[in-house]
Parts: sequence; structure tokens; C-alpha cells
Amino acid sequence: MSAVPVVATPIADALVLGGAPRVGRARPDDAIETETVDDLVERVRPLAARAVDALEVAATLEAGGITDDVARVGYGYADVFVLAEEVHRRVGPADATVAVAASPPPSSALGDVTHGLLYLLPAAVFPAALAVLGRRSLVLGLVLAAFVGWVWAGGATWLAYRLLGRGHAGSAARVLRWAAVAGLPVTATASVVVIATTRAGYGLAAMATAQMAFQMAAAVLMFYRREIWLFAAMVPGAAAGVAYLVAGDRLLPMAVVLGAGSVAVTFGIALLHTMGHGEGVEPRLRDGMGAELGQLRLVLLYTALSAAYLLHAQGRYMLDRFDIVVAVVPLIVGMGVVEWRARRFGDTSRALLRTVRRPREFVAAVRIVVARDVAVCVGAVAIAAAALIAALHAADLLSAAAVLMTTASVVLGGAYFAGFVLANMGRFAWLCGSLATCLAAHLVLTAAAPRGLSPVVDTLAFLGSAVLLFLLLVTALVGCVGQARHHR
Amino acid sequence: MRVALVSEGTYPYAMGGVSVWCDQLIRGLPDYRWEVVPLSVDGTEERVWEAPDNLDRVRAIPLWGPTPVRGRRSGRPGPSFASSYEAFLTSILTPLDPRSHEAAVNRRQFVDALRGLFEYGADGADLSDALTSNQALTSMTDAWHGVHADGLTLADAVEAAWLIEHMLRPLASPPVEADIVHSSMNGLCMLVAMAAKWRYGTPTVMSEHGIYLRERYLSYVQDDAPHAVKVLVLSFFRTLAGAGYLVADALAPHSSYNRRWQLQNGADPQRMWTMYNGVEPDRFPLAEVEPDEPTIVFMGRIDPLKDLHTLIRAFALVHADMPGARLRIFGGTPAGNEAYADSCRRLIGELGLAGAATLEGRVDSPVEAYHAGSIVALTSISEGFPYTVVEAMACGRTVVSTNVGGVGEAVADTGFVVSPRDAPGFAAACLRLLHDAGLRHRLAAAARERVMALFTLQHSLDAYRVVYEHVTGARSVWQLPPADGPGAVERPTVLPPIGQHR
Repeated sequence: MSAVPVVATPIADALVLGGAPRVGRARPDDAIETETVDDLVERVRPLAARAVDALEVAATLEAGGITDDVARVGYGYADVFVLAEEVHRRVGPADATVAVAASPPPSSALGDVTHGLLYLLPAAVFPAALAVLGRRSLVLGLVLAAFVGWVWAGGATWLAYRLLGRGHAGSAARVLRWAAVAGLPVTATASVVVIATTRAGYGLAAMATAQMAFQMAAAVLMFYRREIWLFAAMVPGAAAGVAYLVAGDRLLPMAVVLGAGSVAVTFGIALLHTMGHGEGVEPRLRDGMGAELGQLRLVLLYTALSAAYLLHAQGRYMLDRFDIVVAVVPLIVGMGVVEWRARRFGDTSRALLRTVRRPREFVAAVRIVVARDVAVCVGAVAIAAAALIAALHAADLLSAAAVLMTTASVVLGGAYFAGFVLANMGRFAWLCGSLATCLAAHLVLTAAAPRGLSPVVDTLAFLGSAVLLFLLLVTALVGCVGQARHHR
Repeated sequence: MRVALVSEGTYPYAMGGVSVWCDQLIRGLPDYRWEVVPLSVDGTEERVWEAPDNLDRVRAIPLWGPTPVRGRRSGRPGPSFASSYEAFLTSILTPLDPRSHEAAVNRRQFVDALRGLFEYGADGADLSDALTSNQALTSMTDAWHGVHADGLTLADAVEAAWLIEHMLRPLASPPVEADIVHSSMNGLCMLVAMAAKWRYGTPTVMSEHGIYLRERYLSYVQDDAPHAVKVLVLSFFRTLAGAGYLVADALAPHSSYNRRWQLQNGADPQRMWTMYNGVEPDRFPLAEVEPDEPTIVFMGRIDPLKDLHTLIRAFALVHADMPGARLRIFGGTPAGNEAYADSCRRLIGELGLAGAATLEGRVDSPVEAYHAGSIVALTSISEGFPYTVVEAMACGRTVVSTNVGGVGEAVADTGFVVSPRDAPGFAAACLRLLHDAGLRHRLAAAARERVMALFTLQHSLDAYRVVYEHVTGARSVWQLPPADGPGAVERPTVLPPIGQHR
């Protein structure tokens, strides 16, 4: 015998006290006024119709105040479980037809496609900077800022997206803000090292820091889909740079001041966009980042290898081969399309998951999407490349090396698309291995020639490494893109 | 004796009744050595409990962190995985009356399937990778369409597989080494116990404060997950709960109310001993005086399960009858519940109770809260055997509570128990006590006496010591104390099959 009565307060007492419970209302004379099971079924139908089994109905009934005593006294069933079975039976099975969820609105194509042109905006100020700093300082500053900015912004935005995906918008904003601010002294310090080792002018530090500020501002504003602010803030500086090109030296001070001012304003706007994201109610940043640090190392390596791969091929030509250096412009212009297709690919693959029933149907469909998007990316860069080749030809600057390097840009357009999609699937180890292999292949070929490769052979070798990179990444993508779990 | 205590979402990372019980258990059995195995979110949580001297180790198993695949063999899952996983899916998707013989067989097959998945991971294969592979998704869609004509898209299958992969991670962790694995609840914690049993033959004790399965059901009632995902996940929880009862060598429901759900899901009454939470009387001294104004006190976390909206609405009725009455809500707001706390403040404002009803926030000692009230209120829609009720009774406060979980067993005839979500009924009970000082004081004294007789911590600790000795063979089940008090080990009464009541 148990020393504790199982609900020692009689349910009737509770119901008398209850005054107006919806079931089993008791009167002082103990007359029980009950609703019928049919009434109960109709009352709980909205919840019971979605129940997966009778036990879920029992849990719902109990949470609504129906105890074993109420089931017995009020409805005439042995207990809540038996009553729930009856309710479940009367409500009928849940509607099993698939309600295809509405697809989320597609990513803004215009915002993404303009990224390439936005990346080029600072270039309008480069002639003015060249006049002030000299070619050596300008080129070294740009290479340094491009490398540091690529790695810094790539790591920060990856981490911010991870935190945002876990619902930590405030932490994501903090990462972007502090990465943007910390990036400036990091670049300035690296500049001092470069100046000390290359004996370039101190203007290099200012140039590199300004370019870094632009890159971080662009990363932040693109993260928040505020490309319009980036454009608006940079237009005055870019316009002044163009005006300097047209009007000559008398506009140099204005071009420099407006160029620097535009970058400063853009940076300030970007920082403002990182404010007010509800940071007070989230776990500490250190806690949020802890789980990501392992993969962050791979992400940083991937961005560093990406930057090194492109910059090492351009580096030797930056001081004296404008035709080869400018061959990267189609890739930069086309990056907007590449980013757009990579983002759309995620939307498309998730939409596919919602419409097919079995993995094998998904595999076939998603590979077609990959083929289409690779073709779009290669095609977009190819159009820009054709325009560039035509312009170089018109200017009588076209060379075989320029054509080869431009062709490499076209191939890299497809490779970068595959790389972005693989990165979204977390395949950083493969990305790093592929980039390292291609970088090493080109470096080994370069080093193998005792007197150095001619520009034609060198750009041909780089084109070969770009094709190898394309094949490595696309092959990997085709191999894993059919795994449905990557598209959750 | 080495005991591995397994927890999920509670000790040592969170406050609450189960955490209090874990701490009491470890400190109360100082001659045992303890290891705590919390199933954590991502392993970055900070402990909020000071470790007792006899707690040797805390080994978290993160369920939702990055996939733990380093150094494991991946690739296309082989036939051993396929056969186990198909059996797993068949078990969870086969609709059966939980009390039927077929359901009992199904539970056994499910345990075998889990063991197959455990062995697959223990053999060095990447279980996480296998569970989310296209091969596994094909098995899932085939199994689904073998039972249902429609209803599952591949997106649903991916979502369900992702959830199940995370929830099965304890199977891929190295099994704990101890003399006993004590699971503080059913569900995912029992996977840790199963792994230890399969690897080392470790006996398992399972406590259930609330009913894990019932709470999973309630958490999905308003969830907007696709129906197919809900079916797969809740069916997994239901089958896992039955498997947990099957595997446990001793099952300790913390109220007779819990026994109903356990029996419904296949628990063996011969292995069940009802245990009640206990309190240390010295820590909850008798309140000598009452506040000047008639005051209702709530003590607990700010949480939708506490249904504070009903409490506030009930208080509005009390306040209309007794304009001098106050409602003081003590307790912190856990992360994620801020919106609910705001909704409570809004409701107080909307009902014109500003100043009369207040959210007091976290309090250093719950005693302070109990002593601040004339009566103590609890309006939960789901509870196990809540400490707040027993603690308030120990302090000599009369309790008005909803009739959920083991509350009725705790309060008995020393307070009032009302239907959940019944604000008028709750208000009527409160008013009756607030108006009738004699009744209030009489019930309060009875409540204190009831706790001293039945719900002390020492009762609870002695009972667990006996169960530990029983499952490790140090004491025969027939040497267990007679069921003469809930603080001691209580032999269950075997209920007739429920169908016979019809």
C-alpha cells in the first residue's frame, strides 16, 4: 500500500474550485455536467488533427487540464490514454499530402551582379594615387592590401555568416565590426614591413590602409545587402579620379582628397551598419566562435591560397605589362555574376529538394543545374574578356600573353563558381589542396626555367594551371553536389 | 562505486529541479565517485554548479556542434549499416498500439537496430556521415512510402535525417566506464547508458522527473515543422522512450503520475520503484510570520510551461475581490524566454495590475520568496515532482497548484489542486485561502508535517542507495524496504491492463 494517495485532492473539489473548467464542470451537489466526446473532439480538433499519434493527443489533453479522473468521470473512459485514442480515431489521420513550402524570394540578382563593378570603383582613383605615390609604392601597396584584405574579409564574412546562421546576428555584427577596425592597423603594420624590406615610399602604407578600408567596408555592406550605400559613398571619389584623368594635374589634390574621403565615409557607413543587431541577448562572442575556430583555420588558408594564386601570376607584370595586368579585369567584373549564380545555386538546390521524392531524382536534376551555372559564369567572364581584347586591339596593346591571361580569367570564372559552391558545402580541405596544387605547379614551372619563362610561356603555364584548377573543382563538385544533405 | 550520471539540458549547465536533484544526489552519496555526462549543445556551455569533491569528471557529449568525423572512416555505408538503419526506420514508422505484444517485439527490434548502429560507429566508421548519406535518405523515403502514400519530400527527409543524426551522436561517442550508468531522464540520455551496457555490460538506472516523451510531444504541438518531419522525429522519440524502459535495469519515476506514461509505453512494473524528490528541512525553515498584505508568491523560472499568463489572469480576479492583494513572481528568465517575460509584463499592464503584480527577478534563496508570501502558487501545464511545491510546504506555506505531474501526490490534502489553464478556478482557490486565515494556517502546518514525514532528502538518498546496490547485485530486490513511504523505495502496485477499465 502506498502511503501517498495518488491525487489526494479529489478532482471534484478541484472542479468546484475551478468554477468554469471547460470539461467536467462540477456542482456543489456533485452533479457532473460534462461535454460529450464529440464536443471535445471538435474543441481539440485544431491540435489533434496535426497529432502524429494518440499519445500526442493524450499529452495535449493533459496539458489542457484533462486528467484520468476527468476522463473517467467526465467522459466515461478508463483514463486519458484511452480517451485520447478515441479522440485520435474520431479526428482521423492527419492530412498527409505534401504542402510544398513556398520558395523563399530569390536573391537579388542586381545586387549580386553589380559586385564586380563595385570592386572596380577604387581603380578610378589609382591614376591620381600613382601620381602622388609613384608606381612602385602603388603596386606594392595594392598587392599587399589585396592579399591581406582577401584573407581578412573572407575569414570575417565566413564567420559572420556562420554566426548569423545560428541566429546570433549581434555576434555576427561584432565580428564584422572588429574585423574591419582591426584590419587597418594590421595592414599598416604589414606595410611598414614591406617598406622596410623593399625601400618603397611611406605612401605605400597610406595606400594599402585605404584599400584595406574599402575592402572591409565593401565586405560589410555586401553582407548586409547594402550595395547602394557602397556605390553612393564611393561615387564622389571615383568621379574625382576620372575628372583628374580628363582634366590633368590641376585636379590632383581634389581627386586625392575626395578619393580618401569617399573611402573614409564608406568605412564609417559600414561600421554603422554593424550597430544595433541585438547583441545584448546573445551568448558571449567567444562562446559563439568556439565551435567555428577549427574550420576557420581552413577558411583562412583557402582565402590566402586564393589570393596568392591570382596575385602571384599578376605580380611580375604589375610594373611594366599593363596589357597582362588588365587581363584580370574581366574576372573582377564577372565576379558579380559568379557570386549571383553561386547564391542562386543554393536557392535552386533547396527548391529542388522540396519538389523531388527520392535522392536519385535530385542527383540528376542538380547536376544539370551545376552545368548550366558553370556555363553562365564562364560565359559572363568571356563576354567581358572579349570586350577587353577588342579594346586592347583597338589601342594596339594586344599581345599573345594578354590573350592567354584573359583566357585564364575566363576559365577561373567557372572555377570560382565551383569553388564558392564547394565552400558553401564546407569542402575547404579539397579547395585548399586544389589551389595549393595549381599554385605549386605554376611556381615549379616558373622556377624550372633558368632564366625565367617568357611572358607567353608563363601565361600559357598559368592558363594550364587554371584549367587544372577548373577540372579539380568541377570534378569535386559533380561528385558531391548530389548528396542531398549539403543543401539543407 | 563509480556512477556515471547522464543529463540533458540540465546539470551542470542550467538551474532547475533536475539539476538540484543531480547536485543533491552527488553530494548526498559522498562515498561514491561520480562522473557526469551531460548531453550539451556544442560543448561550449559554462557550468553553473560548483563541482562537489566526489565528482571526478564532467565529460560533455555535444549534440549540435560540428560533425565529429575527424579520423573516422567515411564513404559509402556498407550492408551492416543498411540493415540496421532499415530496421531502425521500420521500428519507428510502424504504427502499433504501444501496449500490444507487437509493440513489445518492435521495441526489442529497435534496440537491436540501435545496437547495430552503435557497432557500426564503434568499428571506426563515420556514423554521422552514414546517417545523412543519400543511401540512408533512400532507405528513409522507401520506408516512409512503405507506410504512407505521400507526405514526405526529400527536403523533409534531409531535415529529419539531420535531426536524427545529431540525436544519435551519443552512440558514436566512446562508451562511459562506470559501475552504474544513471540516466537522469529517458530519451537521448539512455543512448549513453545503452552504449555502456553493450560495451561493458554496465547496469542502468533511469530516473524520470517529468515524462521525457510527453514533453517532446508538447514541444512539437505548436512547432511549424513539416508534418512528415514531426512524424519521423516524434516516432523516434516514442520508440526510443520504449527502448529506454526496456533497457533500464531499474526505473525510478519521481511520481506515480509518471508511472502511467511509463506503463503505457511498455515499462515493466517489476523494475519500477517510485522515488520522490526530497528537501533538506534545515534549508527550508518554517515561516514564522506572514506579509502584511495578502500575497501570492510564485517561485520558478519564467517559462511558458509555468503558464504565468493563467496565474496573472487568476490574480486579476483575486485583486478585484481583494484590492490590497499582491502577486510576486520570483525567478530568473532563461535565455530565449525574454519574449515570454515581456508578454507577462504586458499582460500585467493590460489587466491594470501594475504595482500589484510584479516580476521580482532571480532571488538568492528560494526561502526568501516562500516567506514573502501568504500562499505559494504554481500554474504549470507540465511538471514532474516540482521542488518548489515541496520546498514551499516545508516552509509552512499552503500551496495552490495546477493538477499536473506529481503535484497532487505532493500536496495531497494540505493545499488546493486545480485544473491547468483554469484562471477562475485558480483564483477561487487563492481567494478561499486568503480570506480564511484559519484554513490557511491549518493547511500550512499540515504541509510542513507532510514534508517532514515523507519528502526529506535523506529518504530520497537512502532509496537510491538501495537501488544502486540492487542493480549491481549487492542487494536482492526482495530485501528492498516495504512501500511504507514515498521517500523510501516504493514497490509498485501492478495495475490491471488499461483496456480492462473500458
